[in-house]
Amino acid sequence: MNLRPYLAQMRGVIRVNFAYPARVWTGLLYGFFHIIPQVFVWRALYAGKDAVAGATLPEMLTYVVLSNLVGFVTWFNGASYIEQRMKDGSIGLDLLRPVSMRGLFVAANLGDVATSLVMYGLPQTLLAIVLVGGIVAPVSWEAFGLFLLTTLLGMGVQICWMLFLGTFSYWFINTWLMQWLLQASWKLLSGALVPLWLLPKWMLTIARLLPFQASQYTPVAVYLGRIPVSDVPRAILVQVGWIIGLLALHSLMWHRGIRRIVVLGG
Amino acid sequence: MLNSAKWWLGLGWMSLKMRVASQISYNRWSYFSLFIAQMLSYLSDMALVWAMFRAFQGVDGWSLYQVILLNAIYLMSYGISQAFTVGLWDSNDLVANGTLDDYLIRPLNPLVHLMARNFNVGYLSHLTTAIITIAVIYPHLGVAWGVLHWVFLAVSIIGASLINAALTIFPAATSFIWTRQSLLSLIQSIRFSFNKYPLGIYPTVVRIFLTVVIPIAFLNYYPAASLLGKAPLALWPLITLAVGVLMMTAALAFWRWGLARYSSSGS
Amino acid sequence: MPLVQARDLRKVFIRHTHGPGIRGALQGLFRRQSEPVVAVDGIDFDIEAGEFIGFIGPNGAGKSTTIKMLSGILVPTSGELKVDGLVPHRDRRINARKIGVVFGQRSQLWWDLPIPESYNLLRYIYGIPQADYDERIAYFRDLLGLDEFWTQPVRELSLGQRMRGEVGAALLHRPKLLYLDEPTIGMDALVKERLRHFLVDTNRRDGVTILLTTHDLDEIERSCRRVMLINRGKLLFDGQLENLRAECSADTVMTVLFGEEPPADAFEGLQVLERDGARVTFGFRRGTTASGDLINALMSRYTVRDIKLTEPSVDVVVSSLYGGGEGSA
Repeated sequence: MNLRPYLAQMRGVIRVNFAYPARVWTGLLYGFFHIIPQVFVWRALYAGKDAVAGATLPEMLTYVVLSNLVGFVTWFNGASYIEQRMKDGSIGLDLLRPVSMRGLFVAANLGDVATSLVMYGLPQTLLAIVLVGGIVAPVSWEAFGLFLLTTLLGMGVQICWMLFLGTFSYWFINTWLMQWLLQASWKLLSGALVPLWLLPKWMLTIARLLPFQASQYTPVAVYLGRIPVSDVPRAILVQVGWIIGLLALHSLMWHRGIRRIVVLGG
Repeated sequence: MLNSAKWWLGLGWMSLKMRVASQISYNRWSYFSLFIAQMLSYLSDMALVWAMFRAFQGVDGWSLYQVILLNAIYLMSYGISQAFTVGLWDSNDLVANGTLDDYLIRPLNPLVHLMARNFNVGYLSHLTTAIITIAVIYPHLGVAWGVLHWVFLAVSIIGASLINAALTIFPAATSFIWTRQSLLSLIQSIRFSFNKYPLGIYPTVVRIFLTVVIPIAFLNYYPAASLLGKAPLALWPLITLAVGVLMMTAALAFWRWGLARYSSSGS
Repeated sequence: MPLVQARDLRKVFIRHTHGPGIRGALQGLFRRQSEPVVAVDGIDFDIEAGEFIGFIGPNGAGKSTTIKMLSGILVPTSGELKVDGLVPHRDRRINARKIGVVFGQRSQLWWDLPIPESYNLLRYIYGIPQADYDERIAYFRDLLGLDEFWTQPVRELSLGQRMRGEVGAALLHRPKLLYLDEPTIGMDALVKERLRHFLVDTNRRDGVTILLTTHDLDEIERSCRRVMLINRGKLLFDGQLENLRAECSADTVMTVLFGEEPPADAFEGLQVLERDGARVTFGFRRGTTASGDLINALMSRYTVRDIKLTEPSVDVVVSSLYGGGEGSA
């Protein structure tokens, strides 16, 4: 496969992202404002307590910092782009091109991830570490390695989720409601803002039915040893399962959709 | 040539009818579903606070339900102010693409025209969410509010709505300086992140910042402290109202300055 | 006293730039370079009440900026501007009652609703009495042909239909002056003709003074007697259309497709405006050269596949006003 057009796409996106200086600075500040309240609220919540649900304050703060960082890597947006191109039929034109539209789209997202990681994610994490006064070390070297691996897999889950959602939205009419619903469940059930160990059982059950925790919660939980190294293979299996399942559903709906667009003309 | 308040209300009402008709012309249900979707989204924010706090006793002397009240009061003032100022969210588009010119060729005050034309009844969803939330948590607040409490709640919300509106007008007007950027999303992120928890959790410098520089602590923290008996009842609601009037005046002056600048150097 | 008076009118913008590539963008984070851009460079003109003026020039010549100054949206950097005795930007709201503006690129109509909804809102804004409003509507529906699409939402209208609606919207409150900024971009000839007919009628009937901006010469040919030509912020010509023609070194353009590419020195003595392989564009003056003679001369020496005669575009006019253009003898 010739990767050149995809790399060019990534580079282009990175350049555009840097084009508006004020946006970069405000984005940086935005991140600080996002993380500062989280750090202080956990501190205040832990006042006079050693451990809550088996997690100490330093562990909790480490969770906040790392979960925020992982969020930058697993943040993929724009399922609506695919939906839009399918709905207005412009996907027909994309199919005529020698490069894959989905490939370009993923490349653009990777470009976004790379820029936001460098521009916002790392400065934000550094500030948070200073604010927190240092994060706890990973429970072991293996855990650290597996943290990186599960983060990458989390990225994969999120890419597939985005592709899935793009085609899913094509087949379902009321996407607004669905998207807000998904956003709400992401906030509550991904572990991005509240670690899953604090949730009641019934919410955990719902969380497992959605892929969000596999991309967002799993890596940090591995780092902190909330998922012990011996259980990590199972967690990885879940991630891979989501990737395969979402991809399968996506391509099924994609090919059906394409056939409908081509045969019926949009 | 000043138009009366009644005249502006008339314009707002006409625009509102046209806006709703526009939405419905696509899909009768989309308007309704957006309403539900927004309610769900904000209810999930309340649920998030609940999920965070349930294993703990509370924070800085505020119980879980008192913290949720903070969020509900904020949401209400945000919804009221946004119903008017939502048209300013496109301030970059207004300036960069010249949509503002369409207002400037009319014999009206462009800011009031913009607000009247874009008045959005959809923010009722914020109000509804806040009212439902307050109704649900009220028994858990451990207070017995008399008439005066409700009056001061209303005063607080009016003051907070003015502050919130000023906090949209002011950053929107920065589009006049930077054309394609504004401080809008920055201010938005500050008011949505720092308002969730009581001010007491922050170090002094942040507290001063949120009281004096970007006074969002008046949007919910100070008034709620009064209403929950942590401070004299009349004190903070009245100060909130005064801050609101002051900030609105300042924001309008800044808008006028920015508009003059746009006309003399903008494209 | 003329209705509009402009003296040494200037408008300078500040534009921010940054260098190329990721590197330039990164540098842009720390410092911004800015440069002044002169959009309108000291122009003078008068407009009398009742005139119908074509305001032409290539894209970016300063037409829109001038219109925005006339509307009171932009403040001139220097110079004087008076519209009906007022300085537009200082008395913007009073001025706004006297003018109607159509921006060809944007819509002032509500996108999802039928035209009358937007008109009704404008009636309220301008406080137009009901009887007067009804009379205006009847006139527009008849002469602009709004009846054909009166109940359809604007988003379903064709470009030409929408623009007719826009023109009606701008004239609803009986303005003294009508500014049209590129209203006919992308419209077909038939629609243009209809709009032209209407504008001429309004100009005569109501005495509305019209300033029509365009970069299309054809369009003003039969409506405007007076033409103002602007390029790079300077007024190059202001006068009768016939005189503009007289000052140009070419009033007719002929595009010829030859059988093969002619040699480089083939057209000595002829004004070549453009060469693109076997396709060559000539400019000439109808008074001095007969097109028939020219065609005969070319056909006697070369194989000619196709010939097209057109009016000169505004770019040709501009370049021929600037020392007769590059290719002239």
